[in-house]
Amino acid sequence: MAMAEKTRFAGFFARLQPYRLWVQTAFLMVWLDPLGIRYHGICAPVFHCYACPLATFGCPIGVLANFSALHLIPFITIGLLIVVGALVGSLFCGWACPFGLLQDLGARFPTKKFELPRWTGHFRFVVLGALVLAIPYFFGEEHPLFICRVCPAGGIEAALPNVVSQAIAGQQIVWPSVLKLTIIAVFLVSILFIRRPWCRVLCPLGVIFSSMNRASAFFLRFDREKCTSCGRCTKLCQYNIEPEKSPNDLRCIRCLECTGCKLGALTPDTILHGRRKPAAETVLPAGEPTPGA
Amino acid sequence: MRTRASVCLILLLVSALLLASELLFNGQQVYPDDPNNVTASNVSEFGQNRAVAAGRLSRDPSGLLRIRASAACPT
Repeated sequence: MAMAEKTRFAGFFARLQPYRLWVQTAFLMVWLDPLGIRYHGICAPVFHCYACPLATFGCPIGVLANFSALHLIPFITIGLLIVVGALVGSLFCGWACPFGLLQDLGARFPTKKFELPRWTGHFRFVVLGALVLAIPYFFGEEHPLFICRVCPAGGIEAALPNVVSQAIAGQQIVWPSVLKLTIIAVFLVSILFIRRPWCRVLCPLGVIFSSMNRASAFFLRFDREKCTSCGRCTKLCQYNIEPEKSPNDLRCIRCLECTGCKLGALTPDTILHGRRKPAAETVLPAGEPTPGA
Repeated sequence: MRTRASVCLILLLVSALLLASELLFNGQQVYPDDPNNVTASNVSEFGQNRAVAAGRLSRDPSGLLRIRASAACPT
């Protein structure tokens, strides 16, 4: 029974995999205020600026940075981030984040894609430690390197839509700073040539979630016995990770593309399913009739 | 597997403690923008989040939390 449940669980994600872009789009409808009701008191576990005219929920990184500048501790936001990280790790990055969706759409342009060195992923810790926590704490929100001032999500989801809404309303247009416009331009160009550049190199929210990939209740199980070292999972992974060596890697966004392994060596799993031998592999004593025979 | 389950459980307990802490501390005293007004309101973290999202929560030089009359969004 437990094995059947495990297969069902892995099968569910296998069936959903081709529609990942649609799942991301469906989540976008949640983040973009479909009912016209704002819940800015609560943070969503995704990277979506709450200054966006349509944002339903608050941005956890914006809250962390602003609370740090105010010398307050956002208990609920930190608690929420740990709950999500402990349950699913970085699954929201791959399946629900609107900023990830934008980058995935950019990656669909038929341009040559460049690979990033693996060590660049460590910049995310620098962004989290310096731009989100230390600089706001010591220098306040007026500092030019305060995360919200340099955040491309804030520029694309908030600053540019606000310019448009001001223009439509006939109000005086408040243009974003030159620095902000440059960051937006660099980001928009980079998503055409690099897959998920923000998520892989700079995202402070992604590094919080992916730090818990190795401990989360939802995880990627690698079955060494089924693996033939064909390298298919490494080819399927678009983020320069070797899933057979590190299935729950710190840089993984849990897009689950690598679970397309035909042999089933990589499968999504949870701690609720105990590790059991598949029924087909059970060796029966000689002469014993097979079940159903 | 057992290690993963243990660490996951610890993380969930930590997050439960954090969420309970907010209930324990029960918000912050926040003052209106007018420095002559000394009537503070107890604002929960949800309320603080809303004020932050609106770009209105600030700390004055004397260290008091204040709700700004006008928004100052860094984006």
